[in-house]
Amino acid sequence: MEAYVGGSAEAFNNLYRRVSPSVMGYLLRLTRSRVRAEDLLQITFSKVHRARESYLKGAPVLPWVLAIARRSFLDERRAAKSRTEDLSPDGTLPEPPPTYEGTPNEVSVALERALDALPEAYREAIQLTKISGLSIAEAASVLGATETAVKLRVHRGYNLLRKELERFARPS
Amino acid sequence: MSERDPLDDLPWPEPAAPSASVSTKICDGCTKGLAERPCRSARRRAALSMLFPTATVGLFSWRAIAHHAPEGVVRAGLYGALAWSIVLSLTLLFGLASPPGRRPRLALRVGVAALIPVVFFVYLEKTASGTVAFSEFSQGAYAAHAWRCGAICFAVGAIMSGGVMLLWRRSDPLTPGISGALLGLVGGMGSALGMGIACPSHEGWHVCVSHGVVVASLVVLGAAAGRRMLAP
Repeated sequence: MEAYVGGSAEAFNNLYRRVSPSVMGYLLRLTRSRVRAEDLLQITFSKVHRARESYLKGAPVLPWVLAIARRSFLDERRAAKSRTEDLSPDGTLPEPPPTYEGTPNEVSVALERALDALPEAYREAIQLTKISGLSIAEAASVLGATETAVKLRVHRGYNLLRKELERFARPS
Repeated sequence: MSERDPLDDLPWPEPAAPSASVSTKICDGCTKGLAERPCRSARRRAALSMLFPTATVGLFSWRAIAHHAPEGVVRAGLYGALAWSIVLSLTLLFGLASPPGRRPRLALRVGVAALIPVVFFVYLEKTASGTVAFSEFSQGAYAAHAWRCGAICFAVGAIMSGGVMLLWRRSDPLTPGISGALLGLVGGMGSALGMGIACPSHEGWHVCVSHGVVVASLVVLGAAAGRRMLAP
């Protein structure tokens, strides 16, 4: 990050390669739409680019970028709520939340569905700690919550996931 | 958490890569005309932030001396300002001198931002020279002076807080609210301490309402403004 602030394009490319999958995964989990997630990814990196000179030496980069991504998502959602029309800006219908039919035949598919079915707060906490690999403290700072609250969300999310996955293991 | 997590063995989804076209667009946009910018440390910014209350106290002291304020009052005010500048420096060191993500726990920082105005209130109350009845303070010349003094104190504090926030602009996506509150505290305290030197009244109600309330209100306003100004 410091090399990128210093003007190195190569440093940005390395940074992008390193953090973009985590940020994209997080946004995908929040929006449940690839198009919206990619739009938000662009907004996030344009904000990172504009704020690069304000980056403080030594700050952990992934939580920094994820917090910007989360804020972009919340801003976008707030703006969408205040819009009266139901069409997205390109004239298409908004994407509905995914609906699944039948019983999944792979654990990974079942897990994906179970994750999508979780309440947003639990889903976010599990995504950040389990999939993006942040520590509890880092996830708490991204979510603007206390560490205890994040631990609680992860724990409750796990319990719900476990119930869902048990249903998958014993479909009868 | 020492037990092995039974969910560890699950095939957690891999982070999803964005499409090549989006990645190209982002990389092109973010690397075009990339100029060299200085990467400052949080400690340096915290040190620069202390210049704001120092300048405010200096300005008010100069005004007090120019208006022939009693030497004892100016000296006492300067001693108070010196002691509080140590508290402010420690607050900045504790709350802002490390980069976001490496700062102390949120609850501790919130505690500091809430506690210092309370302690400052107690200090103002203890160092006030006499107190009139509230009914007397709330009307006539006392009230007019309190309004005028409070307005000046608030305006100077708001300008100082705004200036110090510009110094930290877009630097904290993680906890912008509490960082803003601490910067509001810096601006408000600088202004209140300076006003304590220049203001001719040291009556209890006056210093608490016109000088002390300004600090508390700038902490609250700083928290609100910080969420907008400090987050990228």
